[in-house]
Amino acid sequence: MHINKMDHLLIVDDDEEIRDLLQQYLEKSGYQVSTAANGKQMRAVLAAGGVDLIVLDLMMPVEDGLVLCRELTATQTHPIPILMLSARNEEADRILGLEMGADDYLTKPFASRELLARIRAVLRRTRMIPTQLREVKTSRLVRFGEWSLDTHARHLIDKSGALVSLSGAEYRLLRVFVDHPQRVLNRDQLLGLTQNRESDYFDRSIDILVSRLRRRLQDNSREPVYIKTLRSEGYIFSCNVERQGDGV
Amino acid sequence: MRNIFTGNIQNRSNYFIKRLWPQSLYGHLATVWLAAMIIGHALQNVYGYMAIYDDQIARNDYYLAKDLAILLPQLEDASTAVRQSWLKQMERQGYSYELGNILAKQQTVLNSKKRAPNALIHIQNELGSAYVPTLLEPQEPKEDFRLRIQLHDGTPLTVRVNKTIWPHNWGAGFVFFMQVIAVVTFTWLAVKQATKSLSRLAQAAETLGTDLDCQPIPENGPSEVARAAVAFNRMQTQIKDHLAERVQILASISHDLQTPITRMLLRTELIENAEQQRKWQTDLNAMQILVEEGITYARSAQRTTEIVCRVDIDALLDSLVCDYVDAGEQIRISGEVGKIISTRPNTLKRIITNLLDNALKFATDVELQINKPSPTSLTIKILDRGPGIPEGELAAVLQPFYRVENSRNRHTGGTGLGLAIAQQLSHSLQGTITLSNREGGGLEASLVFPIVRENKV
Repeated sequence: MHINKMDHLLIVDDDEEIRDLLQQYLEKSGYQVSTAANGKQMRAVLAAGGVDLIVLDLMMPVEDGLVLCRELTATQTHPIPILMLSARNEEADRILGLEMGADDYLTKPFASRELLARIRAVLRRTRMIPTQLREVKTSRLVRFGEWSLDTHARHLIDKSGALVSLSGAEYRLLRVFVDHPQRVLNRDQLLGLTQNRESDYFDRSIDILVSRLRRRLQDNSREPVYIKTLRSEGYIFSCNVERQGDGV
Repeated sequence: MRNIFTGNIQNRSNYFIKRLWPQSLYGHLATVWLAAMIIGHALQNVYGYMAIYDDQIARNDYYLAKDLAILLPQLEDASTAVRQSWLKQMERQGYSYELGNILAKQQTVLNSKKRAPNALIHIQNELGSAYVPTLLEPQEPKEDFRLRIQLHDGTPLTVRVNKTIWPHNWGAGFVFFMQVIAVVTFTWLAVKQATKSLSRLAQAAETLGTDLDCQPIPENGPSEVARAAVAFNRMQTQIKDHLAERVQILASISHDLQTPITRMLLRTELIENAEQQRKWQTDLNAMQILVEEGITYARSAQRTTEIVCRVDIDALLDSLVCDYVDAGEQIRISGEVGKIISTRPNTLKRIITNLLDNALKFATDVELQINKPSPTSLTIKILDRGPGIPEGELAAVLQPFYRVENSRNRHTGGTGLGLAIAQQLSHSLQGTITLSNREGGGLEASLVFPIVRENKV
């Protein structure tokens, strides 16, 4: 995937050295990088325009990442994707960050390659589904048929309200399906969209993953209601998707 | 042989005493108090009864002496018929008279009882020197002794003195019975009252073992118990503060370490030598894991904030295993619950993850086995084929930072906190984790926790 224009990243972190090191590393990886030490500087950079993605630290003095994140998602008409960094590895913090409108969440300390992979994945998702992105981002609950998908906690809820867990790969595949309902998706597209990180060990074919997902959804593989097989073409998510109001 | 034999008997009698002697404080107090009360009441009643009995005897013999003083002068000058009618009239419950030589054998009373000599003294005092009474052996079972007095015409008068019948006073017996009932009832009430607060204290101490946030005990009851309750509540608060402080310290250290570790990890990108870079990154990752596990362990000792929700337990375990399989690990899963249960899903996931990580780290052929659930509890087993753990260390490995002394393990790394975290977290599911070595080698980690089931919709 070659892009003519260099992607422009904005790093917002109060730690100067981390800012510099990240800038150095990401520039070396082929990005144009700006930095900001606080909310004020961030707004100045954003005013100049052209930013494609914001890497935002959660723990900052005065205005923390959550406040800035909420501000960004609330005020911008074409919001810039946000990758949240946090020192706290708590499920509750992750969900809160996503609820505030972050696109992904990474715990400090992280390997630089992991960050790079996440940045690429978020940008790729944004490019592939630019119009629906905002919608997906702000609605925590996605309903289809007898199921609800909690996109923050990353599990299914059945009609009785019971929680049905998904593995990471299953969640990513289902997320692609519900983001693209009634559209034929071939195996390459599905593979590209579900591969979140480059380091993913992903020798399972999409077919096996689809059958696993059908099992979770209690979808009969002979006469599937949700995920239908189109011979030689791929799969189609043939159920209407309804998005519930966002949690903000 | 003999010593052994007697020893056995002694042991056996000790055993029975131990069996019969109550174990609880309530039992001790009730037994001692009840025994004291009943013995006291019995002694008092018996003493009272004896006094009445003695009094009756004394009265009887006193009247006998008075009667004889009246009767004897009347008999002296009377005809035989008149004498007989007098004797008939003067007969009482305690004694009767007979004239004539009815017994040849005259034998002085050898009875050691005091009654006869005492009665004799009384009678002699009443009659004066005119008559000389002598004591004779009783001839019939109901008699206590006999007296013989010679009338002036030489006719012997025999007095049969009967044994005093024990007075049976049913009213007194009833009162005694009621006393025993009252003593038993009030003993039970009083001791129950005194020990109630103590057993409450004991129960609170037991609860504290698993749940630090349990309610403080009411600080009332007998003053000693109330003081113990106050001390206990203070201790509970101190332990809680202590734990909170520990979590706070670990959280601070962890947080402050995260920034330097992040910087260092980023700096490793500047290292040209690939081998050096890899080593730096490995060490930093190990540091990071230790920091994370440390804070997780500290937090796991506190009450979890995760709410209980209804969970498809089969999907939870299966998706967990799928994540491992997708990451290239080999884990088999067998069995299923087939029910929705109410539990804390993230806590449960973390426990199973830690047990699986431990199995994968040290062994091969890892299997997650879901046992057919009982109506009230669920057993999840993580089985492996590996070196296992020496029997003596099975419990110790659940302690934080404990590592089996085995050269294999030092190289495998790990923080030594994984199992301790799992163990701590199992408490918040009211569950337990037990480790055991499998037949044919390997370890079995078994998580058992109570569940409320319902059918899948």
